[in-house]
Amino acid sequence: MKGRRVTTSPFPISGYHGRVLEADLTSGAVRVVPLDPAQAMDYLGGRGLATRILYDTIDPACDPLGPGNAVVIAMSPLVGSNAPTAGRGHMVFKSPLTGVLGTSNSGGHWGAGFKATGHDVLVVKGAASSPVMIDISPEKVEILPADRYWGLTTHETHDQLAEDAGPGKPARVLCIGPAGESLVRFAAVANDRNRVYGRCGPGAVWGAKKLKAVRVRGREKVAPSDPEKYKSGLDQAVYLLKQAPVTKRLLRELGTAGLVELINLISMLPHRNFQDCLHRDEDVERISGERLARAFLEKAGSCALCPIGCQRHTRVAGRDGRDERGEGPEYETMVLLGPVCDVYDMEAVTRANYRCNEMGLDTISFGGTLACAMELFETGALTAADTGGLGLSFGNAEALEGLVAMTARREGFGAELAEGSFRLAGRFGRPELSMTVKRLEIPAYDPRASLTQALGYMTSPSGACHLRGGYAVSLAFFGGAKEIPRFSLLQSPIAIRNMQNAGILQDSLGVCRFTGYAFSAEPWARMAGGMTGRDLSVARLEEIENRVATLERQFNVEAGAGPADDALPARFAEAPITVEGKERRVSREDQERMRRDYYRVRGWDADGRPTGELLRALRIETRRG
Amino acid sequence: MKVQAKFFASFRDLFGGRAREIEIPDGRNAGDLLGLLCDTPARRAGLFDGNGLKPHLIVMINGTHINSLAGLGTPLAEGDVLAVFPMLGGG
Amino acid sequence: MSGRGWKASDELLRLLRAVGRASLAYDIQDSHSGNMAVRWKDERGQERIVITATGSQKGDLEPSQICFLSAEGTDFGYYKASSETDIHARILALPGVGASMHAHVKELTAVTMNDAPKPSRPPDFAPVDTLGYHHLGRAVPVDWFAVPSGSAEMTRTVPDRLAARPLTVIYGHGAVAKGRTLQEAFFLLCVANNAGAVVRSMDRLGVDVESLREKIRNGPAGRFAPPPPAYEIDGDERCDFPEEEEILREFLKAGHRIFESRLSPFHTGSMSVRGVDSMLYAPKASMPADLRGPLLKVPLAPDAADGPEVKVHKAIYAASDFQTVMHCHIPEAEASAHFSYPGETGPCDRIIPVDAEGSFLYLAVPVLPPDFTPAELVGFLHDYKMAVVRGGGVWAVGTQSLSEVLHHPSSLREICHYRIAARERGLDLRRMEPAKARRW
Ligand code: SF4
Repeated sequence: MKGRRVTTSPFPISGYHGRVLEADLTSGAVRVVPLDPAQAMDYLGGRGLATRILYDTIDPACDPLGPGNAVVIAMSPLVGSNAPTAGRGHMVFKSPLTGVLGTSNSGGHWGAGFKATGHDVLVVKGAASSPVMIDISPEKVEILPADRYWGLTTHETHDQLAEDAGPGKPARVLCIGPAGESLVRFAAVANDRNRVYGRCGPGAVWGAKKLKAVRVRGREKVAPSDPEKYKSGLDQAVYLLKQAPVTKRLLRELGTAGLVELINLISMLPHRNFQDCLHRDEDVERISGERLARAFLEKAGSCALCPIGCQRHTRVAGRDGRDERGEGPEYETMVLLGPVCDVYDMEAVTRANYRCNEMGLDTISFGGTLACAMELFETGALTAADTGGLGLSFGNAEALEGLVAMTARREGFGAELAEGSFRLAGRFGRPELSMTVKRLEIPAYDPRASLTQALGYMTSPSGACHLRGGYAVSLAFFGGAKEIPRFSLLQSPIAIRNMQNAGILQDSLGVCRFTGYAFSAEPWARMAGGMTGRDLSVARLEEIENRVATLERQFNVEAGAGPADDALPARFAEAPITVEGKERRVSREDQERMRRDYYRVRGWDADGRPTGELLRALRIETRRG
Repeated sequence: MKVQAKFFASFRDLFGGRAREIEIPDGRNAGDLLGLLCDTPARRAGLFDGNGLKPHLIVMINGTHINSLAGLGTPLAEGDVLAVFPMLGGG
Repeated sequence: MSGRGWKASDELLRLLRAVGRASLAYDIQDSHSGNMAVRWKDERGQERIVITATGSQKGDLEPSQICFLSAEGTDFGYYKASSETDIHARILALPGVGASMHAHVKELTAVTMNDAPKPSRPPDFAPVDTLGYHHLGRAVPVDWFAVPSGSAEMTRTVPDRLAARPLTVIYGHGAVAKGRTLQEAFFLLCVANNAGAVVRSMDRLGVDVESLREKIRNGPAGRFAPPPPAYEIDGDERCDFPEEEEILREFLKAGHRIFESRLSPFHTGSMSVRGVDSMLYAPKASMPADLRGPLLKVPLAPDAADGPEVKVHKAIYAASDFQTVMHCHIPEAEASAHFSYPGETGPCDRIIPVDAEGSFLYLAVPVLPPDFTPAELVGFLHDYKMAVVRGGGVWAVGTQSLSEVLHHPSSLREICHYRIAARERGLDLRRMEPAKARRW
């Protein structure tokens, strides 16, 4: 099972190696396919390029846990450069949780490590019959048995594989934990121990392929074609990151959990499976970023090339009284494992977060699923007989940690939780209690508190995700210059389209969302244009963003999704919350209008299908011609 | 009238606590209250840039950004809660 | 005959106060200078002339400082009204005139002074900017008076001047404008002051104003972008989207900022927010507090009746994903667009910031010729978020909101301020600009 270095002719565009590494786990074959330069310019890299290659590789209607699914991870032309935060990889696959496009992004050092092996894209197809790992260096690519790592946590796998690589340039490891192995539908893939491709269940796809890890090591470099142009963009970006207070110091000081108090104050902090947004002030204080920084933070940390440094390296008392160290919690984790489960115990949340990282579980979906179970339990739809005697009432902080392990290994009631809240609620006869869009659990911003955010959840290609769906909160509150109305039906569709597109650009360039607090596309256009030596003006980038968004939609349409999937759970249309003294819901009529307008803004037809005319205009080839 | 001021993040150190309840004469606005709170040059420098607020500050009254109200001129009423945040980011 | 005992209605008082305050905010009065006069029907339907009292403080007009005269009278003797009462009365007697206003338009006054021995007739003022040229005409008379305040000579000359044109300059003193409404007269004074500011900025930059005037005389068509819309007096209160409360507030906030920060003279410029098939459109973007302009909802589809201004908004939206567009007339930017570097021929094609913040936010701001095509403009807006049209104002775009787009012209004014100051101090701009900026 060995692939030797294949020499391809030098790639005509700087920033790319021009090599797509394809591993077929069924046959054990590894080959390098040349990257198509036209495709590189049309889809750029990262999310865009990965989605294109996935679409060309699999049938969107395939079984996500079958060998017909593939995992594609792509880098951008900026990965491997010194552009700030440009070390991120993007992974796409068909999601076993949602049944539509799975798309997830992670920081850490693995992305730059993979690019340094002399490849731009990794495609993993088929499925092995016993556990394997892929070992990649510029000299050789091997598929190796991984039985002895199977069953290990992400941390153990990382540490052992890094160590086994021997001396030399450090190896970077991307791997799954027990949750992926047992096909938990929201299992994550981790690198650098605690940086995860979290959402949509990529870990389960790896687990189904029996792929435990991908280890990379190399020194291949990229150099800008027009260094002066590249540098002008770089200078501007670096300067602006130091200017904007959010990127300069606030994320480093408070982490993302610094948002807890603010989001609460604007009545957007969800509570008890999104029943309301009401919390006691002293409870919120207990899970605030301020308290985290004061009581648990050891130091801030950074991903590759990141001057922002939002990571929380923390220490907390373990249940046995001994201190434990780990990372987190992020804002999302704090809220989903916290108040959404009616828990305000930061120690318990932090420990559960540590366990999720080790087991390889997405904290948002885990928290959302647990909250759903708690509501099922309180309504009597679920009883102690179903849970194996566990009292799953809201507020049961004690149970959190244990449930992570049970879920990851599908033990007892954990096997039900492992299916995610949509399947759980359906199985116990109360589908309306699943707070999901396209079966993906809603993150920690209540959509009733911002119509733009609501529309973002509705139309995100991967289901309710603030990173793919667009992050309206920053528009309203943190962007300063960008404050937009929260409740404008008129402005929402375009505002969220533009925000989603900004995300597509960042994901396709392999750079962090948080750079968006300092600047938008122009410095990136110069850096990407300088790197590639091609016309990557902002207008060209805008075209790429729209192309990627429409291809993602096309994938989902072929996977069977339609307008009915672009909707919020009934709770948000029926039960109002109070914001600034007014009752706010996202009525079905408002959803209908925003959805219709959004389709039109995107150039899709009334059923949300990309029109032939649009596909032609954007030069998107599809199976249907 | 009695109003409450709440501080977040670094403003807690600056103002020596999480919250303060203050008695102010009727008819005062957000700017008056902030002016009153800034009783040292350091505090003043923390919030104000000349007579306006520093740019990267979020001031809310009962959960509404004062930019969406009448800015510093927003009138206060008994029981109002004014909150001072740095601009934050996350997701 | 005097109308004593008749008090200003709330509406009238509000109007006079609003214009008074705005004229101070725009710095075209000193605290007590100038005056305003309008024709107004009282509750008995009798037409009156309403005039602000001499020496009243225009920032805080009191009801007692507003005087009422019968419209038929011509000789008012000493009445507590403005010393220019007669002048206003005569102007108001002109056909179609509903208001007149006198203001100390400092920028214009400054550029119309000369050192020729007096008495003499100073040359007319020829505006070189599109607003001045199109709203005031190609030549604005300037009259020198031995007694430049309330004199018989003035009472005769000024109304005569205004019979044929909207505004006239009193040498070393200010200007007087007539209008169908007080807003229109104020608008003209702001445009006039702006025209003066453009020339003064050009002077400071070393732009050859006289040769530019010569070119405009010979062929105005090639010097200006399509003319700005004619001033409309109706519909200022119109709002087509009361249900969009938050956007409405954003429009008003941005409008105030444009006016107060001198990004565009009163009721000039335009701004819009795009929806799916319509845009919310403010045709008078520069709106001080209490003097709004119309807020319209306009279909995005091109319409044969569209004026050039609306057309550009629609063209930008048709060719981009932008959500907001703003157009304004910044005098410093207009002057900067005419700047040519010593030793180089022709005006510059970009404005390169020399200040720290400006140069990182915008490596360069492109300058387009007056006959730009919308496609060219959109191309530049994509890469630079903002572009200056020589003879046509500044266009800027935002992806999300009005407050976002507002930042661009506001930064540009600062950028130009520093360039002009540097040049005025004899510094070499080329040496101050980052070398790479010439390429981008
Ligand atoms: S801001 Fe945080 S998530 Fe983004 S690159 Fe830096 S450390 Fe990583």
